[in-house]
Amino acid sequence: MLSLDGWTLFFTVLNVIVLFVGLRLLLFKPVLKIISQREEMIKTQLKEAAAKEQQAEQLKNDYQEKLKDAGHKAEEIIAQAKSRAAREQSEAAVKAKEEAEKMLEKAREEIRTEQEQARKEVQADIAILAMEAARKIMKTGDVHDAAGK
Amino acid sequence: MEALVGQLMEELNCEVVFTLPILGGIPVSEAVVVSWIIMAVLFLVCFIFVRGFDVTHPGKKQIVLETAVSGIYHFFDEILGEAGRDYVPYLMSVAIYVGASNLIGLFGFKPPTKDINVTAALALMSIVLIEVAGIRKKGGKGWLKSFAEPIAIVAPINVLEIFIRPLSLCMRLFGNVLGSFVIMELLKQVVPAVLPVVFSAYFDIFDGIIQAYVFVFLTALFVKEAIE
Repeated sequence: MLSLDGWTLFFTVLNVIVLFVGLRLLLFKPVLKIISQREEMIKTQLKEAAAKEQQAEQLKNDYQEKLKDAGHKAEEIIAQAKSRAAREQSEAAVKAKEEAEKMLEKAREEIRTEQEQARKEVQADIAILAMEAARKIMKTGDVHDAAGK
Repeated sequence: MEALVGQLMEELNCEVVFTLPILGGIPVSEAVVVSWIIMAVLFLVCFIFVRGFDVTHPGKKQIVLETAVSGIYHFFDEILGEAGRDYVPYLMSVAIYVGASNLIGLFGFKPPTKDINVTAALALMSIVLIEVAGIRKKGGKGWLKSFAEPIAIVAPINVLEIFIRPLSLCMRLFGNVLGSFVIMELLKQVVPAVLPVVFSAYFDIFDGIIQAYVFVFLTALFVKEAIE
């Protein structure tokens, strides 16, 4: 029990060295390697996740920008259409007015020419009537007759 | 009473199990044989468990083993720091060996740490590790100079420490294991059933683990001191 025994001492030293080498080979190295591998994997995955998140964020921003752009464009198009419609409307109104005026002018012209014509016809009729009356007077010799008739 | 003492003495003796027939006969003591059994079991367990390990899908056994190994690793790593990382695997091995040796009494074996030659060997290896760590860190001259620190007058005490440290490590472990072994054997002689279980929980498991812890913890502290 208490007697010192060189061989047991020697064997124990040997045993501990063998155990150290064996455990290092069979337990510590593989286990610690697996743990560090896992840590490495988790680290890279986290990095990848962060990169992906950033990408997604950027995409989102892009889309929002595009959406905003699209909204602006739509507003622009609507505004354009509105202004064009207004322009066309006013143009049409102006045209209609012009046409109406033209027509009015034409009608006035026609009326004037017709008046002229009527006047000419009346003048011609008067002349004919006067000539007729003169002829009648000359035939009867009676001015009163002709006038009285 | 005579029979009890006889039985106790028989239990306390570290018998020579067999003699290797070389070099004029090498006696192999019980402690060495039990150590071999412990080593064989440890290697077998490691071999069986570690083989199926997977990085991405750890099983329950793997998680338990990984937690244990990394727990012990970080325990020593925290004491020793960056500079002492080389010594962590050795300390882990000794921790496992001493722990297993102290607990093997549960399976009916005589704990190898009950043999003073085993604890003496462990303590010798510890002091060698401590001084080698000091020499590696400070160089031969620096190591010699470190004996005169903080002042030259304490040099004899520092030199004495080379002998005191392993002696105390050796005796502490040996005395604790022997003491609990003796108490357990006495208890088993007096009350063969039930009661020893309760005491075994304290003397074999608790004290065994505490002593293993203290042994490697002190060794790690001394190494840390040596490489500071």
